[in-house]
Amino acid sequence: MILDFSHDERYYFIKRTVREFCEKVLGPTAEEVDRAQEFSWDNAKKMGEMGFWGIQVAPEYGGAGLDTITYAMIIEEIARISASESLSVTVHNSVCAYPIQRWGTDKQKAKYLPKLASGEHIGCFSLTEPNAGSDVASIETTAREVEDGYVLNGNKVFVTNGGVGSTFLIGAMTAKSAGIKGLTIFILEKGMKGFIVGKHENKLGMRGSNTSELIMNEVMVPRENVLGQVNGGFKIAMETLNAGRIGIAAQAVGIGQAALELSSSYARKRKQFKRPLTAFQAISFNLADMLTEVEMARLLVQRAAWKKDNHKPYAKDAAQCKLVASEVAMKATTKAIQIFGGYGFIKDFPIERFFRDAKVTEIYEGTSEVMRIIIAQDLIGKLTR
Amino acid sequence: MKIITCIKQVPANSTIKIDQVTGHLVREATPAILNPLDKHSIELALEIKESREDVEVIAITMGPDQARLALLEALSMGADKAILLSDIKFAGSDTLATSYTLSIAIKKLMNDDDNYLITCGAQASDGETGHVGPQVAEELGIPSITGASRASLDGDVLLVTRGKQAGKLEQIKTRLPALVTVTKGVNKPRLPTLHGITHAFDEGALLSVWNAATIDADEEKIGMAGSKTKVSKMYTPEPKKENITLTGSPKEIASKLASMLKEKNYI
Repeated sequence: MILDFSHDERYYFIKRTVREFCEKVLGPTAEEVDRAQEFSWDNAKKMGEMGFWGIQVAPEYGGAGLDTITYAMIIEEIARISASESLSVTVHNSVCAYPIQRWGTDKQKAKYLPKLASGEHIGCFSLTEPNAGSDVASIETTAREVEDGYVLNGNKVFVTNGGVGSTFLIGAMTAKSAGIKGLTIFILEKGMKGFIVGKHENKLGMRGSNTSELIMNEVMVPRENVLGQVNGGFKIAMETLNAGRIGIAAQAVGIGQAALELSSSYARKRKQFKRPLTAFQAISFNLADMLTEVEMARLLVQRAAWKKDNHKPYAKDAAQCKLVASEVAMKATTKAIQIFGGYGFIKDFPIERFFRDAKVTEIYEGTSEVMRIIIAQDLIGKLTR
Repeated sequence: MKIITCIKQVPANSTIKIDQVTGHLVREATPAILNPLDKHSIELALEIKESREDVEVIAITMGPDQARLALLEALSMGADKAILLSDIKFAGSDTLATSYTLSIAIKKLMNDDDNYLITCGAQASDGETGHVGPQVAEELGIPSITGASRASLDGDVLLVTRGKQAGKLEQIKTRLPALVTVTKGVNKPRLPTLHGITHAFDEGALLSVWNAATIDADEEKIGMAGSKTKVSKMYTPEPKKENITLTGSPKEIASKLASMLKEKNYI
């Protein structure tokens, strides 16, 4: 029986170091980054020096080559201080650098990974369009084969890092009539002719992370920029999203952890009826629930990460941890604001920011409804086998 | 040239436990951290290394096996090598025995080569003696400059700015080999990067463990036997309760306070 919940010295040392960095560097700017709704290039550079843009990229390409359990811990630590910056980092790492590392040719890896790992280039991944999100088969962006490659036309929306990115993974239909079997993933670069950034979205939360529209008008993409197989994009996209969900779940755990820490420290200091709030069970039971649920979510994240690291199927586990962690983040931040009372509703305390940031974790990288479909299909598939 | 940075693992503040019988710190029971000033000492070594071509930075500490973590932190920051001096025979060392042990390890490391600088934190946050740095220099017969608020190396000349009494500064120069102890103002220590951490933890060969036999230590000069001082008692002082509450109008309180301060010759 091998079931060990401890981590090695290296893990704890990384956690301590990342926490110190996040508190010292990202902490003082988190409020302003949210208010201004601008991607902080200054913080991005500092995170690059720490190695955050290449957490799982192999050392030969300039990354830190860490496992997914450590990766999830780092994303959680960033989210605990500045959730929107954890979004920029996790999207870059798990849905841009990871698929290039996994399915890219040696030439593609040598060309793109070092700049992604250093943070010189920020990465994006995009399937979503005005008329296609969860329904991948409805993608309308087309890739028309020509002599030297493909010509792409279409619009992508809600692209995380879209306006700050240099390396883009774009899903386009190479055989529209084949549905999901006609999807191909292309690597696009900033500055390609006809490839432009559209509207920057004005968001409820995650405001320090850039979300943009991308417009492709007769963009010529060389054949060598196809990631994986032509018409093989659906499998890459689904497996990439599985990996991405672990990052989003870790982010949600970080938001829940922040809500727990902020509200428990407030409840200890705040006195009403001559007693600290923690002396009231209505408050302390809520804190107990928050702690338990955050730890539950973290364990599910670690199990999915462990399965990924050990090359076991983890689509169901990634969906479960993302479903649970995002709902826990939403519940924990809601309870935290209730504990803060009126002070939770004003911008003098960071808790309202975490509340706004939490909501989208139930939506992106697959909604909670899609997570339940994946989990149910896994369950029912086993029942009928 | 080599820059040797002597570091120490100390108990994290406020968690200190003291053995009531021996008066020594119970190190095993306490979470340990790298002495805060030693981060500045490592940073100084790394900054000099980065400004020249020929520098190798070696972190050294004496302590139990768990002190490896302090060395791994130094390696994570960018030190090239690390040496842990660990032997049950070193246990119970006072600052004199510690200085002797460190100095003979440094002699072995340098092997008659005089081209070196030693950097230390000015003192450790646990003992707060500030002895070890200058005592190591004495053992090695090299100059030491303590309490640097600025330090740089020009060729083989070490230039140090240090505080004197009454806010005055003085500048001191010396040739290598030399030892410098640093204060917090000397620089801003870097944080280890993910690459630095994985390199330090995954390259086992960067860290060597030396015992009393490796450094050919004189057993009379190490550990309890080599310690000239004994801690007779360690305790938390009782706060002296002498609170006085002044009453009256703000003006009256101010004038009472002023006359009391005058009485005690504080103003």
